[in-house]
Amino acid sequence: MTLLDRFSRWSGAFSTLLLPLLLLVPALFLDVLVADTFKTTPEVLILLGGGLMVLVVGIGRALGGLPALGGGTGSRARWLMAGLTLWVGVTSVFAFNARMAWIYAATFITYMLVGQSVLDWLEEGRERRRLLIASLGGLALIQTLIGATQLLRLPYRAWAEHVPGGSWLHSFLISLTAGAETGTAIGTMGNPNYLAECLVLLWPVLFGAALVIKSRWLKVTMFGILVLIAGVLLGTSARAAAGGLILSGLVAVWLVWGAETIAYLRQGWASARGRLAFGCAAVAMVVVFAVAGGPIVSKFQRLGTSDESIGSRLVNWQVAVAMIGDRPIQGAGIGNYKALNTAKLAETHSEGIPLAATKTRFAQAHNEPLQALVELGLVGGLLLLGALVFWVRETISNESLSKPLQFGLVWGVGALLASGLFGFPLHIPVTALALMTVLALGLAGSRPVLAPVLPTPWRVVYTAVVAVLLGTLLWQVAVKDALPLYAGGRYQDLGEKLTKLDGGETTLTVLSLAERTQRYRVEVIEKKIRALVNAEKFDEAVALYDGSQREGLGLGSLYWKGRALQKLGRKQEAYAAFSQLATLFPEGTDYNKRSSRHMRRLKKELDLEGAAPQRLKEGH
Amino acid sequence: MTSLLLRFGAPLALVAVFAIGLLTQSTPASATLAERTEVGIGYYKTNQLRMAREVLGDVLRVEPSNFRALYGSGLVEYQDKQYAKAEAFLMKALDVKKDPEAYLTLGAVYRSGRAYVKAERVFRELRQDPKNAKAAYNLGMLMLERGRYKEAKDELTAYLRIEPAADDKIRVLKKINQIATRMKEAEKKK
Repeated sequence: MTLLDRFSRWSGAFSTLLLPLLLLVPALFLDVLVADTFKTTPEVLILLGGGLMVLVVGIGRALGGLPALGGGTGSRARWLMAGLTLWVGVTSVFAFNARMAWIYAATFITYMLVGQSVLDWLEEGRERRRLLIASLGGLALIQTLIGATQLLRLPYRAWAEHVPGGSWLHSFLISLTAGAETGTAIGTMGNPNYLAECLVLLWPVLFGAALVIKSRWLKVTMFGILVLIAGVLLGTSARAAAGGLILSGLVAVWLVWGAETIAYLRQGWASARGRLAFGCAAVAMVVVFAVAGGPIVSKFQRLGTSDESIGSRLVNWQVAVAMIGDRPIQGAGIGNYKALNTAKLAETHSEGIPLAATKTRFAQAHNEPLQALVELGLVGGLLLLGALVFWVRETISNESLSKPLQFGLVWGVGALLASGLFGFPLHIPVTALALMTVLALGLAGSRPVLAPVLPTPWRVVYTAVVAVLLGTLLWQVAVKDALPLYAGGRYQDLGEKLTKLDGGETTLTVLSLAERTQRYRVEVIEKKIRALVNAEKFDEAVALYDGSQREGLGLGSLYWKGRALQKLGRKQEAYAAFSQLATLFPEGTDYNKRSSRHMRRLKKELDLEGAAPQRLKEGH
Repeated sequence: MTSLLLRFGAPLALVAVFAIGLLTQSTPASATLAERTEVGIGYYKTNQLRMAREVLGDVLRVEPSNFRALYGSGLVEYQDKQYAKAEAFLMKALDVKKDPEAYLTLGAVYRSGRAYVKAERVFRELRQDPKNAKAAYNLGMLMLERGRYKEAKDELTAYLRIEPAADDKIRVLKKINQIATRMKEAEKKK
């Protein structure tokens, strides 16, 4: 064995240690969206850990004479994914707001590279597949156990009081109180829907794996865990996830076994063991449903357009469709949905936003295909669709996978995508990372693994090139980008708290810092406008609002602009700003009430001055 | 050969495209020392004392004589009831700049730490500026704590004379009335 081979094996061993950590550690921190303008702890951990994984696996393969990022050779799904990645880069250059697009594009390519690296890593040995499935099981178990304790309303806040403030454990316990105090299962994911989406991806994969486990006790344990996960999944009351799980399960059965399904079921039923298994499954389903199914049933009964979550989604989708029409081929650029959405919402609903939609700020389309079309256009949408179709085909024809595992993988990905029709699971870091590993599982071993093809001297050169290129990219993504953006998030949090206190120099400095370190600055600018009004710097507030129109400011900023104009004595302009807000927001909403109050006062003053223009009077 | 190039080169070409794309993007600038100081003060203002101590400590490691960081650290320790540490930071801050606000805070630290004589000396020095309302208020409250009612009443009255529109005017007036009552009771006992 040459020295290069030895290094290659060491890197393989290191990556074997790294992968479980990469999957499990971020789950111990409260999760936020991938597309957020700043990076949070789990995402930074994923970017740093994932970056390291990509580098280690890439160098390991190069040292061994194999192409870096070359696993799954011949897979069309992989090439389409690569094409999609390239397209993301292209659209980022021509994006509506390129700065914003690059922030997200950097994250996107890292996740793609992590997926490819896991595929490379899996092809190095079959036993690695088990480790990956066990790690995914660990992730599901962590989230499930936390979710279960939240459903049981464990006193996390009281426990946190016994732990030193500022420590990780203290913050962790406090973050869990969000669910525990209301009896909602959210795990460490911040929202019951996010937890459900993660679990619907993992549950079928673990189910498929449990079916092929040979050890009887391990099998029973796995099914016990699956029952617990199912209970917590139901406890989240996430309708889209539950519906998606059932529907995609049926589709996956048809795709994997087709007409043979009935024959298999008959065969199973014919044996005593099979009947016992069916009986146990039926009892488990009934028990789980009886214990945790109540809330989700009543939520399904409320289904209709009067349902707030449905109503807001309908408005959101309407806006998204209008946005697709603006740039149908190339899209607005990845990560640009949020910035364009507010202006489009005001445009498509100039006569007034429906009440159900006023409480949600549409940072996401709540429909992954629609959001993909808005941001990546038809080309990106087709590439994504093609990649998924080929992935299903290649997974089903992957002879190195047992049928139950093929079924579990296709079911899991299908369930996640189905729930993505009503949410945004691909934007949740922990879920997105888990998805990439599941996709890799489907393709791994579908093609014969190549023997080393590079002669030794060339391996050294090639390894150097790989190290430089991957190192540069990942250094840029993880260190030069993610860490400052992580700091930006902390500045933004601090700025938000300070804005509520005053608009003094400290507040403005912190907000300026957040604005500069985040690059995509909408939320910060909104706070800064408010802080400038608080600091009585009205001219600056108006100038900042007017100069930031392209950033896609939220409608709340219009209120603060109106306040600044009012204070500056520019009454007609102030009246117009409040009037626009009052029209957009239906009666009874906060903005409508506040704007109407200012409008009444302004109208009185303008009437007294005899200056109220006819146009404004007619408006109201 | 083409197939070899494609297998080895294509993934790296994609990586190279992104690496170049990201390199052309400006990296967010990190905070200057002055900005970090304000961040530390911000954490203090929002009662996140551990973070405030950490950030201001970092600033002081780079620039040990940064007045605002020293003053901010003094405020943090004062808030955290670590009076000895607060005194040390404020003394250092005052060595850098004779700032009346910082000196007033030092007096408040002495008062909270029950070093009444030192506190009185600080407030009386500050009272040499007849317009320093905060010094009058603090001296008045100190005198009240020490049971020196007449001086307390005079100082609080002076405070309201300097700041006739003070936010806490009603509360201070009530305090003055209470002091007057106590003074009468004391006289009766005599």
